[in-house]
Amino acid sequence: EAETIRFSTAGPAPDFLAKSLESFATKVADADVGVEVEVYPGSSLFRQGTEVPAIQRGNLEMSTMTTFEIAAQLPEWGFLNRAYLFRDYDHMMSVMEGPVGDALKEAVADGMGIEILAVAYLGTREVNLREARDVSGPADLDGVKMRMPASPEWLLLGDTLGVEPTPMAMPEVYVALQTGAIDGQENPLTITNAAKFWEVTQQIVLTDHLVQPVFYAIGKDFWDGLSDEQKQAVATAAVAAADENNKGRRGDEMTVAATMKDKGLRVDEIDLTPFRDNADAIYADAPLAEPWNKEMMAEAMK
Amino acid sequence: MSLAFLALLAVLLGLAVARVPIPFAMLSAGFVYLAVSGQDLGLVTDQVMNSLFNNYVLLAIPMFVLAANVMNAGTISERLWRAADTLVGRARGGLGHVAILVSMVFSSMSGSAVADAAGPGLVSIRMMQEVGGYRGGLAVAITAAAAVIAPIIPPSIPMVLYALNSGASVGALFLGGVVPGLFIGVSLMATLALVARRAGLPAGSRRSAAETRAALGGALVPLSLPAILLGGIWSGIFTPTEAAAVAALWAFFLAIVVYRALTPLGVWRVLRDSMTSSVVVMLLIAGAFLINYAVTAERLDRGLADLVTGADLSAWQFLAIVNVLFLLLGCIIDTGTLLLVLVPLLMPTVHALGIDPVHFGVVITVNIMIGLVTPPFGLLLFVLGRLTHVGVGAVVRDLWPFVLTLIGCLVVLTYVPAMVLALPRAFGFD
Amino acid sequence: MAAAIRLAAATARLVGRLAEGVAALAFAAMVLLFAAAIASRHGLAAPIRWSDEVVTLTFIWIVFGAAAFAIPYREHIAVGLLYDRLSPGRRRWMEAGGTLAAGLVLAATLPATIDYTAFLWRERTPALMWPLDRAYAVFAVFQGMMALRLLVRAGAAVLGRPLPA
Ligand code: NA
Ligand code: NA
Repeated sequence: EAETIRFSTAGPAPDFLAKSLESFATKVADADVGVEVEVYPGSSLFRQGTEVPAIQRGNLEMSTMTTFEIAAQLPEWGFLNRAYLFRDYDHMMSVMEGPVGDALKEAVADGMGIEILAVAYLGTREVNLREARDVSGPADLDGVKMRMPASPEWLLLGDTLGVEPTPMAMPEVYVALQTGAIDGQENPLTITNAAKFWEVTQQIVLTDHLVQPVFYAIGKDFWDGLSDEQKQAVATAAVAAADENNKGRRGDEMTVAATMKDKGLRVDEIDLTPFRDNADAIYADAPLAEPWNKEMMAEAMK
Repeated sequence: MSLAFLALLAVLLGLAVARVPIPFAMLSAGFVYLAVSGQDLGLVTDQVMNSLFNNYVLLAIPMFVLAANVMNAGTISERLWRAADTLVGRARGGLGHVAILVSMVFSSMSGSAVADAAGPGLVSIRMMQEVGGYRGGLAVAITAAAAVIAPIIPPSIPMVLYALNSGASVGALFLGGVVPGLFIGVSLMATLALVARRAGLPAGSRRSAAETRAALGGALVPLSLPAILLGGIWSGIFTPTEAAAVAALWAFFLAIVVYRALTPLGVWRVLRDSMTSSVVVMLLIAGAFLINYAVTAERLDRGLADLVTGADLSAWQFLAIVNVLFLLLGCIIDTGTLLLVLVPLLMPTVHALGIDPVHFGVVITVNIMIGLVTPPFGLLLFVLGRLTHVGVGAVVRDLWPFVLTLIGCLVVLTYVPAMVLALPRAFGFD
Repeated sequence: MAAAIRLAAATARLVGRLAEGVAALAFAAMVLLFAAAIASRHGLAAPIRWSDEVVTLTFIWIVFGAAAFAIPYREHIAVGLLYDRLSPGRRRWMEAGGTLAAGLVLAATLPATIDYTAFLWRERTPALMWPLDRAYAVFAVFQGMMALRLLVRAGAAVLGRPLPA
C-alpha cells in the first residue's frame, strides 16, 4: 500500500513555494517508490502556524516550517528571527549548509521530532510605504504605523526598524494601505507584488531586514517508517524542488524591484549600517534574547 | 467519495432532520467522519478552535449584531425608517426598496455579506415588519438577497483573497465590482416592484407636509451613524472590521445620551440578546469549518477542478460549468477555501481561454455570495432566520423570485464582460 | 427522585442565569477593548499590541462558555421543516433519537478532545504567549456540557417529561 504525504503550506498556490511543492509531488511520483504527495496550499487544510503541532500529533506529514515555528518550541534558536542575521541569500544558504545548519537540523529532530529535508528561500523582507519619504535610518521611520504580526519577536523587529508595529489581519491590509489606516507593510518583494500592494503604496525601501529560510519539514515518526529507498527518493526530490523555489524566487526578486519602478514606485537602495547598529543595540538589551544561543548566533553572523 | 464522507453526510442530514441544532449535527458528523476514516478525533478541536482564533475579521459579526440591536432598542432605526417611509412609503413595497438601498450603502463599508446581514440587514428587517407591516419571511428574503451585494461593491474580503490567488489587481477587482453591485441592487428592486402586489405588500398613506418635515428632521442625527462609518473607513481612521465596533458605540451614545431611550435595564437586555445571537451564529460558522476540513481532506474540490480543466471546453462552456460548480460547492465549502484552492487550479484554464481574470474574479465572487442564500444550505438564511426568529421555511417561500433574479444577474455578468470591465478600463487598468 | 430532579433543574437555572450575566459582561468588555484599541492607535499613536488577541480569545470563550451553560437549547439554529409537521408523539421520538445520537457522539469523543487539548501545552498564543491548552480548554468544557444536556434531553423525551430549556 502506498504511503501518502499530506504537505501543507501557508504559501498561496501561485507562489514559488507552493509551486515547488507541486513539483516535489511530481518528482516523488516519478520515482515510483510507493509514496504519494498531496499538496494543500494557502493553509487550506491546517491554518497557518498550526502545522507543526499537526505534524507532531501525526495528523499531517509535511509542512513548510518557518524559523518562528522552530523558536516557539526551541527558544535557544530564537536568534534565527532577529533582524540582520543574514546579509543576503548566499550568506543564508551557506550558513544553513554549514555547521550551524547541521546543528539546527539535529536540534529540531531531537527536540521537536521533525526532520528537515531541504532549505528553501522565503525571500528578503523589505519595507513598503504608503507615502514616500527620505529614509536613511530607523529615526526616519519613527511613528510609521507598519503592519506586523503581534508576537514579541515581530514587535522587537519593528523596534529595530524604528516603526510602530501595528497588528492587522492580512485580508485587511490592502484596504488599510489604501485608506491610510496603516502607513506601510513589510514583506518579501514577491509577496508585495502578488498582493498588489504596489497599487496603493508609493515607495519600497530595501531594508533587507530579514532574509528568511523556510524548511521542507517532515514528521520524524513518519520518516522513520519509510524504507531507505523511499527516504532517498523523497529527500532527493525535496532538495531539487526547494532549489527550483530558490532559483525562481531569486530571479523574481532581481527583476521585481525594476518592475515596481516601472509602475511608478520609488525604490530606495540605502546604506544599512544605521539599521544594523540599531538592531545590535536592541537585541543586546532585549529580555527576549536571553535564551538565545549566542555562540551559534555569532557563528551564523560571521 | 469515501465511506467516511458518506457517513458524515448521513449523520449531518439525519440529525438535522431530527431537529438537532445544525452546529451540534455538524460537530457529530465531523467526529463520525474522523472515526470512520481513522483520523485523530482531536482534529475537531484543532479545526474549530484554530479557525476561529485565526479569523479576526469574523469579529465584525458580533459588533454589527450589537450595533443593530442598539439601533433597534434605542429608537434610532425607527427614526431613520419613519423618514424613509414618508419619502417612499406610499409606493407599494417602498420600504423594501429602502432596505435594498440601505444594503447597497452599507456595502461600501463592509467586506462581508454575513456582517452586512447581521447589522444593517437586521435593522431593515425589523423596520419592514414594524413600520411597514411586512410578513417576516418576505422581510428576511429581501434583506438576505440584498446582503449578497456587500462583498461585490468595495471593500471586499473575497476579492482580496481572489487577487492573491489569481494574479488579478485588487484595484481593478474593486472597480470591477461597482457596476455589478449596482446592477444587482437595481435588479432586486425591479423584482420587488414586480412581485409587490402578489406578495401582498402594503402601500402607505399620504402624509401631510408637517408630518413629512418632522419625520425627515428626526432622521438627521441618526444619519450621522453611516456618515461616521463611511468617513472613518475611507479616511483611514479604522478598518471595516473595527468600524463595526465604532457603529455599536456610536449607536449607544445616540440611544443613551441623545435620545435617552435606553435605561440601564435596556442596555442590559441589548447586551444579553446580542451576546446570545452572536454565540448562536458563531457556533454555526464553527461547525461549518469541520465540514470544510472533510471536503478539503477528501480532495473533492481538486477532483472537480480536474474534471473542468481536463475537458476541452470553450470559454462560454467553461464559464457555465464553473458557475454551476461554484453554486453547488458554495453550499458546503467555505468562501476562503473556494478562493484559495479551487481558483488557483482553474486560473491556467482561465488564461488559456482568454477570459479576463478580473471579469472571472467578479463573476466568481457574485456566484459564491449567491450560494449563501440558496437553500437548502445557505449561511445567510440560517443567520437571518435565527436573528429574527423567522423560520427558514417561511423565508424560502418568499425568496425564490429574488434568487432567480440573482442567478439571472450572474448570467448577464458572466456573458457581458463589459459590465465588469468597463469601469476598471476607464481608470487605466488594462 | 422527583425532588432530586427539581433540585437539579433549579441548580441548572441558577448556573444558567449566572453564566448569562458573565457572558454579557464579557461581551461588553470585548466591545470596549476593541474601541480602546482604535482610539489608542490614533489618539496616542501607540497601538495596543495585544488587543486583537485578547478580543478574539474573549469572544471564543464567550461563544463556547455561553453555549455550554447559558444559551437555552431552543435558541440554537435548527431546521424544523419535517419535524414541525409531525404529531407531538412522533416529535418526541424524533427528539429522543436525535439528541441521544448527538449526545452519545459528543460524550464518547470527549476523551479525545481532552487528550488533544492537553497535547497543545507546547504551543502558545502569538502575542501574550498564553499556553494554548488553557486558551482552548473551553472547547472541552463546551463539548462535555453539550453532551450532558443532549443526553438529559433525550432522557426526558423518552420518559415523557417536559423537555429542559
Ligand atoms: Na463591500
Ligand atoms: Na447555498
